[in-house]
Amino acid sequence: MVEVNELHKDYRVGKVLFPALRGVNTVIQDGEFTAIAGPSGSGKTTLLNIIGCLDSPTSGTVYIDGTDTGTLTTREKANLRKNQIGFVFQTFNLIPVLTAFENVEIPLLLLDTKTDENKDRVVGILEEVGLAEYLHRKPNEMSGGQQQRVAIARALVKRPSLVLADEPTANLDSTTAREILELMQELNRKFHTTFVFSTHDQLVMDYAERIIGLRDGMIVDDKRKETPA
Amino acid sequence: MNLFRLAFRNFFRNTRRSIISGISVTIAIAAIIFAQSYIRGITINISDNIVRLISGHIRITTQEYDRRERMLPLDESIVLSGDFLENLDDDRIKVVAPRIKFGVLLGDEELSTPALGYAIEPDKEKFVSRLDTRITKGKYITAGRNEVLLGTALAERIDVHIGDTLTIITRTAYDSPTGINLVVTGLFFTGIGGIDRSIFYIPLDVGQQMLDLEDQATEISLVLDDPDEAVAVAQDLRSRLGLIIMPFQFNPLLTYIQSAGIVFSLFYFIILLVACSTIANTMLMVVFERTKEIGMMKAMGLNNISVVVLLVIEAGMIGAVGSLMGAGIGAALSYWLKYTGIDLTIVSSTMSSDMPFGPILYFSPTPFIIISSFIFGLIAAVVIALLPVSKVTRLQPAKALKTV
Amino acid sequence: MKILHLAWRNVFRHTRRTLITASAISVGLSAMILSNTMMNGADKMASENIIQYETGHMQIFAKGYYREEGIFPLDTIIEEPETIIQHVRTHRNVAGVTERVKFQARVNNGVDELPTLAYGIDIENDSEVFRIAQSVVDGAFLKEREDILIGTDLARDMGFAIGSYLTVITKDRYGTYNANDFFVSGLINTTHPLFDRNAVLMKLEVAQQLLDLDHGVTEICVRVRNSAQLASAQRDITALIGAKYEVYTWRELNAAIFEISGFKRLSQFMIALVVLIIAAVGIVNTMLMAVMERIPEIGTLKAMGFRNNSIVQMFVLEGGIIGAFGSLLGCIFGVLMSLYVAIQGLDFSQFFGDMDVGYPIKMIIKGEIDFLTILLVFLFGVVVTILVSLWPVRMATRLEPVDALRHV
Repeated sequence: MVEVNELHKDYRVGKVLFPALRGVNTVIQDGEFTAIAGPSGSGKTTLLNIIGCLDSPTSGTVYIDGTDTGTLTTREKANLRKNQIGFVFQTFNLIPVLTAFENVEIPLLLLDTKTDENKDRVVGILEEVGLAEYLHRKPNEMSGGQQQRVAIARALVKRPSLVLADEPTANLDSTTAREILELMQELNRKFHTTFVFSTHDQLVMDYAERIIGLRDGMIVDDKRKETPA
Repeated sequence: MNLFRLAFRNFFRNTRRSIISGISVTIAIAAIIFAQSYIRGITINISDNIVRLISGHIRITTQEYDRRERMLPLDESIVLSGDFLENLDDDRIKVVAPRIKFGVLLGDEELSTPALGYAIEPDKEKFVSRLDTRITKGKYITAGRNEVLLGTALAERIDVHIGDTLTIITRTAYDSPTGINLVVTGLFFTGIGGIDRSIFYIPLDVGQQMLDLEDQATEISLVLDDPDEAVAVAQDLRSRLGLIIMPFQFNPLLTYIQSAGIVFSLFYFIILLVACSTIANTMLMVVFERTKEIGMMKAMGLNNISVVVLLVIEAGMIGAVGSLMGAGIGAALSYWLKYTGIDLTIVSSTMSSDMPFGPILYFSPTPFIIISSFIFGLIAAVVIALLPVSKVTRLQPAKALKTV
Repeated sequence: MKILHLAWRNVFRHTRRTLITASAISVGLSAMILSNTMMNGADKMASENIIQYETGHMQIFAKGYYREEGIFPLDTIIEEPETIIQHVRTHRNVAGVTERVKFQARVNNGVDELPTLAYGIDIENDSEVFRIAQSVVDGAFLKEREDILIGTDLARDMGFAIGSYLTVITKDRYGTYNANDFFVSGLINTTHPLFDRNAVLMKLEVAQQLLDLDHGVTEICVRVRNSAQLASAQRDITALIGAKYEVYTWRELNAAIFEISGFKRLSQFMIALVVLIIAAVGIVNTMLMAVMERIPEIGTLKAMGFRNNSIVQMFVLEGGIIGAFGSLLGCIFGVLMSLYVAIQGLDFSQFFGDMDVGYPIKMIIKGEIDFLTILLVFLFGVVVTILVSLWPVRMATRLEPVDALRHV
């Protein structure tokens, strides 16, 4: 699914070059439920952003489904995100003026699918995340957990092959976080979608099948669990 | 003092927004200064033309003449006796210029054109109309000689040239037919269509003889050293003379222009209101995005008034910067047009002599216009900013802190 | 579709801000509409006055008669008007034709004398073109040889009433002075100030006799059915009557007046434009704030695969909606104010009094609403807002998605 080779990323802060990634190599298989773990500043978000074609590496290559993303134009990258990648953000990032239904509908609108079909899919996925009752609520009328569920539904509604979640539970209390993780795990199993998280939360790691430890821009650890919780 | 420093820093938090909000005020203030200088320029232009070409600073006529002026009644004249002239003996009066205005039909057999003759004292008229400086061809007229000075357009119209003889036929004050042959000695150009098209000047003594009005005049123009004293001088003269004594300030056209100026204030108000709506919007957003911060400041013990003052200073700074730039641009434009002027010959040549406007309009900015407009912009910005800002006083610190 | 929906929702994020911005635009536009209504009204009144009292739609002169405004020579006249009138009547767009003699004359009341413009009018046909007969407010229209009609203002200035006796003094076509006595048969009050102040009207035959013109007239006045086709009627009639005559439209005869009007129009438009420019700066400010506060949102949309184009569209639509709303509001206000001016009229007579301001209307201006202009003004408002919102919106698109997401 995702193959990362010798990935380097330097940020320039004033005159100083700050290396965020210093040679990352890894392969993530189809359907994996993977956590990238590490303290803040270890390069987790940078790695996710580069995999998600939101950012480009200083050197190294990223293959998604065999495509070298470094060779893509801005437009092709946008298409790749549109068709194959779903994002979940730490701060949810829902569009505040739209209802839950409308927020989830956005990715489908970009795909030119049929309107009546869209409606079924949106309602279906919102039922799946347990928000059947909240279709017409706006983000500010929902709790953090509910908002993150909407965000997950929005990431999954277009049936992407890859979901990238940047610290999805960081803004949630532990009970809610657990619910969200269980939901994602369930969806991972049901749709066989590849999930990659970044986190520094032990709870997330408990749920992950595989934990890639990142420190100072390098992989220091790569563990697979036989039977995740 | 600290509030000022804080407000100053807040101004630069979102410099671009502050400047854009200020730009609305800049345009408004520049436009207001421009418009005021323009109107003042027009007023001065017209009042100057009225004084120069029509009435002097003060015009004296009989009451009956004033009423029937359209008919140019020669029987309503003023006798220029020693007693009468003694009454005009006043330090403030520089020149006493008697005139006789009479109507004639000019031109040859086929083309007769109604025209207005002014019998004037050539030497005194230099101080009123500066007629001698407006001559484009030939020379000025001399007292005692049968000479005539014609408006350029009038001469063209009746097809006469320098050196030609012009016959004038009219009626005397006693209504008997009279006529005279005059030599065209000069042509004048004022740039005001109605005057160049219909007016000619002859020496007063020649006119008096022709019209049977020895030692008389139908109107007397006074020129003062200080035009601003015209109303007061007129007041004094009125108590001594039973005549109509009109200072130029009471000319109906000037009064009209001044009323138009008042109507324009409404436009200044609207323009500024529109400009300040941008500042109001910015302050609305400032309050909105700093709700948390304001809550924190309140929690730290800053009272409502200080918070409002802080925000109003910020709005005032936006207004001040905008207003200052506007004053600069408006002043630059107006002073530029004060020296170069706008040529209105095309417009003024079509106007009637009732509208003595033109030929070149010079803008007339004053420091007062510029400074008052600047202050006006500043105050408007502050007042308008108070509307959204007053909202913060209702903010509960605890609630404000919770807002994301 | 969805983008429009999103833009629509965004408009109401800050209702108050939207309202303030929109009302700023509406002030600019309503000022434009009102100024246009007033100028149209003044122009229409001036045109109607000229057409209905002075010239009709067209005037036919002997070649060389018309030199400039205000000159009325008697040396080049139409000697045989009848044949021309018959020719002109055959044109299908001609509604009425009449002949007139126009000349300078002095009117004497026994004490004072005033220069006036005298008309000899054909009492049979005059109403085909002009509205003189309908404007008689006191007394009766011309009937007898010695009857004369004068304007109410002239009557007031010279102290005339119905039945007053007056003398008209003029030079005939050969330059000989001639004086004739008349009795005021009627007073006319038109909407044309110069006419009421300066005009005296007598029967055509009387004027012809007074000026020794035989059957000659100075002009033939034509009224057309469809004034939109005036130019083609002018061409046709010029061809019809031959090279000895010239045809002028009322507009050509009064070019100077409309030149002034163009100047006034321009300066009024400039004022309204300044207001609109200031309102446009307000739009820029509002859109800038909208973009700045939504940067993380723009990042999210980009992460989901939105293209720059779509984001620009979204913001521009938002600006456009605010603009359209403001423009609509402005048009409504503008039309309401214009309606008031059109129905009530604005009275400027206190300002001007009896003054001749070089424009042939009385100082009560009735506005004339022009809906095409209002539509154009509306579109202008929307286009301006859309154009000015492009600048802040372009900033939004230059952001990389990562930076946009990271932006707090």
